[in-house]
Amino acid sequence: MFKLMQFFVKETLVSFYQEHEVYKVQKRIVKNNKTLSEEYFEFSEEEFLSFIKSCFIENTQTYISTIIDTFNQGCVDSCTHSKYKELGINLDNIKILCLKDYSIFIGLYELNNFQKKLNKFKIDFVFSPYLLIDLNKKKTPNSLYVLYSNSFVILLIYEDGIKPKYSNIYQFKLEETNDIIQNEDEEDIEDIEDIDDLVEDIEEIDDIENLEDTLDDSIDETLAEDDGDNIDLEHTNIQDDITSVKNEIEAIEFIKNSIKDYYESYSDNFLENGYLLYNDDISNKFVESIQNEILLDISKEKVDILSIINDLALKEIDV
Amino acid sequence: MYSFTRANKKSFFAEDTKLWLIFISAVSGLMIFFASFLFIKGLFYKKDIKELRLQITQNSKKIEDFTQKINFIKKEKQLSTQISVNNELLKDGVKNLLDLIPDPITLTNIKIEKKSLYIYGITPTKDVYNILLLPPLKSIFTTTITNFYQMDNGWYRFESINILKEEQ
Repeated sequence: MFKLMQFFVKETLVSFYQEHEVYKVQKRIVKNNKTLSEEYFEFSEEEFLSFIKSCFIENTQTYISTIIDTFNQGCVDSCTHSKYKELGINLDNIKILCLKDYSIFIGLYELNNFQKKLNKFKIDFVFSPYLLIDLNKKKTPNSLYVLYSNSFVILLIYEDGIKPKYSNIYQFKLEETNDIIQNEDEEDIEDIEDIDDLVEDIEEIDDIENLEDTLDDSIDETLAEDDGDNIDLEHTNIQDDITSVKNEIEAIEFIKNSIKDYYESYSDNFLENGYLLYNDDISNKFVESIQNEILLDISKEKVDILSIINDLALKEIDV
Repeated sequence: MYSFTRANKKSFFAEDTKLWLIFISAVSGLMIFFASFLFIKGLFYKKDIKELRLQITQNSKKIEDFTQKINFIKKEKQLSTQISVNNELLKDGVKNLLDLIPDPITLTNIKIEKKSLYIYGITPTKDVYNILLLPPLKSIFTTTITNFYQMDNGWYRFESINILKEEQ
């Protein structure tokens, strides 16, 4: 009966994830598994709440989905409890989702806290961020997958190309970033700014053959910076750049440490393939930096996290 | 299953729509109930009508019977009245007749028929009879025949046959 009704009824799928204070949202309207429309939004919390309310008023068949990017979660290449015990994971404190070839777990405490925190949004589906990678895997052996976003980095390593052997997650800390932004006089920030400026300058010099033009441009930029109307905008851009560079540095460090941990504790096989999945734009410099740090060629591929979440929600509704 | 949580229950209808549906359902339910009530009542009425029609037919038959009986009784009454009248008339007639009989004459038998009167009696003399009784009899009846039989003591036993013929 329900399935029959679904055939005639439109479903509104709302996927979202929180990027610091901003809620990134995709609204997809689906009928009989066919997408009728897709819209992307960025909301504050209040705006997002009223948006959800309007979605429910518009259509009662609205499904809210998100990913949980907390710590204390991971993938295990088996569904058996013995494997969990072998890895020293206490089964009493986790929730396990057994998928086809492997399982995903999350700490109950984190899951409950997450649900309490987002209770007002009437969330239907909470997905593991590892699924975002797993749905985009290439089935190549000894492969490293990194999903990079502005709020978290997820890492999965497949030894056989099918089951994830190693998983790790890293969240960028907002508070520290704010502190950094607020305190521009600190030397560290100056260093980061300098590094950023330096990187930009080097890129410009590489790209532009005529040095004189570059100098002229620099003068123009300096003059433009003096313009009072643009000061705030420039300031915001600089803050974004600082955050971006800081995140990239932290991500590289995280990837490096994860691979080190993988080699030390999980496998002796060397990684042969590297894939960097990204939702928000990343610079080539960042990719190069990762490659240089882990000594592995990285292929980058743009993914739409919100769209994948809604795909997962659609699969979940159809189950 | 990919999600750590299960989807909240979704209603196909919004809260307002639900209220409307409940209201419409309640009204429809009441209407259906009322319609069913009327239908059942109608069935009962139809059954009653059938019974009443049968009753009417039976009653009509009874009425017919009663009418026949009434007619019969009426006729009986009429007849009874007629008889009563006739009896009264007869009574009056007999009284008149007896009043007609003079003292010297003694009647022994009277036989009254529809159109005739037979008188038997004793008279001292024929003349007494012919003077005192015959004239009134003749005035009433169209034909009067009298036979006398003399008795041992000289009186006469008489037999008077009086016939009344209808005028044509």
